[in-house]
Amino acid sequence: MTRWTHVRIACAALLVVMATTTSARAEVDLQGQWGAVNHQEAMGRGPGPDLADYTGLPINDEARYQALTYTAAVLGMTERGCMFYTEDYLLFAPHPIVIERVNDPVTGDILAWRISAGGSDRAPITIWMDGRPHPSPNAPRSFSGFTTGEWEGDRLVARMTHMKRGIMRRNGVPLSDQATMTLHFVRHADILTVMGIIEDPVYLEEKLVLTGSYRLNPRGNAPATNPTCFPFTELPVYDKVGSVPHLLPGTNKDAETFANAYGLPLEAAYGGAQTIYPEYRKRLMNTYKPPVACTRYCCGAGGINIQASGLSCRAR
Amino acid sequence: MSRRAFAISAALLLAGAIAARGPMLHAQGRGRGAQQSSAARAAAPFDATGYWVAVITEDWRWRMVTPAKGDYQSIPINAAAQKIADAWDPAKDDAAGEACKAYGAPGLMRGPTRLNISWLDDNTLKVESDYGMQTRLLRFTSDKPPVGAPSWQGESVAEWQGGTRGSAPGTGTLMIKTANLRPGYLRKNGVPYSATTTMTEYWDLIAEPSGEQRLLMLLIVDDPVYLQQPWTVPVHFKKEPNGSKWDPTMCSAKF
Repeated sequence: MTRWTHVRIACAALLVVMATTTSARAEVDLQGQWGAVNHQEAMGRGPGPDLADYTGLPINDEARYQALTYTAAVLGMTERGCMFYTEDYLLFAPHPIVIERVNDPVTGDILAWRISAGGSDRAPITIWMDGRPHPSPNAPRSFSGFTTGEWEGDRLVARMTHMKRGIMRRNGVPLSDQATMTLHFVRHADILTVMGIIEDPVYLEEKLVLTGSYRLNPRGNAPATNPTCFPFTELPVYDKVGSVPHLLPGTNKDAETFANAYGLPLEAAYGGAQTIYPEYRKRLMNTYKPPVACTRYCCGAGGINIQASGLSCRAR
Repeated sequence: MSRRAFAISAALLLAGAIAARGPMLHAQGRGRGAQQSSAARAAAPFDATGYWVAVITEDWRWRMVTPAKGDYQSIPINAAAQKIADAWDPAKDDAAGEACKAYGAPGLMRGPTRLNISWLDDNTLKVESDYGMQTRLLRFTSDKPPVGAPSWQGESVAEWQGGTRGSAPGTGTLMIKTANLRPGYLRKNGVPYSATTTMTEYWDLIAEPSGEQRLLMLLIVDDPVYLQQPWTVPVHFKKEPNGSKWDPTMCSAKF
């Protein structure tokens, strides 16, 4: 065998190495405990949003109509106590997340990534990486949905279908079971950003894009697997047969409370695609009347101990 | 196999393996520094140029309009910052010719704005906003930029990370470090940042199957004077086909 033959063999081997490492090199390690950095939407993610605050949501009239008939008392019903915990909750929840890599026990290949909810009631999201197809469109929906993923460069992109009917904000804005969600996992150093793009032909006028960031927390101890939400009666009074908490159209006493509290025209408080773009400010110029001073929820910074920090602003 | 041929083969294999793993290392935070500074435009792993619009789906009440005085929700301010913000007086800012205090880079990038991004030259990306009519210059250089007077947009040094022209979609990040900022506001209602503030940004292009493009930006604002911890917030823009909605407006201290 000549020297050039050896070189040819080496070059061929090199090509094989490069070809077979293509997918591996694109991956970024996502494993670990990730603490939520709630430096935006701190109230919405933490204690919860105001009633009838639909700002920033490109919802349609149907969604608005249903949201205005919502009362939180409905969560007292055993059969509806879990309705908040569809997987899009990841995008507006305050909790940490735990990401695990699920390996094929024989080959060691990555079968899936599992995104747990850090102890909350949301079921873990399993992102299948083995190329399996999504179920039939007519397959049953579940709180976990069905998700497949692939690497696009350095980002994990996950596409979720088969979500159960749920919510897109914790004040009753509905999400239909026709909704799909694309999640982009983007890691920079010890910060992981999750960008979710929700499409809902029933309740959205256009895509809803939500983002959240997490910091790698080597001292985190959130449970790796948490139980799916299980129903129980939080408010026994509503467990009586035939009692369904609801508001009839036009009877929501808080329909304008949020808008009035912050000097917003009702149209702005009620969201819609037109309200999420900069040009909408022109319509607000002559109608927005901000309160003289903040009177409630004025601090509410994610992860900050208000008292220890010497702040005197109202946290509640 | 002769020793020499074996050595050549082994060296080629090793070089190949290192080349194949290179981008993964970059993705963990290692940039290419001076190596790329001579040809940033040619090396761009994605095209950030064009018109982009901020899509305000989060923190709407604090970004789309000027919130009430004393509303600091979500920002990890300290007591010193609160003292200053409690004294916020937009009329005073206007009178002092400081109506642009909320339009400095840390405030601007979360503002309700459109961006027009273009190459000023082969190593400088120009980012213009219609909101407040500001201009940021992102310089791709390993040289220290000349230190001038602090300004609303400061001095920004940029670097491509983890990709080159022609890389697979999703590969490559634009990292920007900004300093030498004139003290301003993180939020329109007077939440301050100091002259010691630095801002680190990571810009990623998100290309959807529908053909839509979004810029996902992670902003990390570090101010040891007024923040208890770095303010870490993602923000996102959507690409527009042209500049037909570009609407320059002057800085306003009030609205």
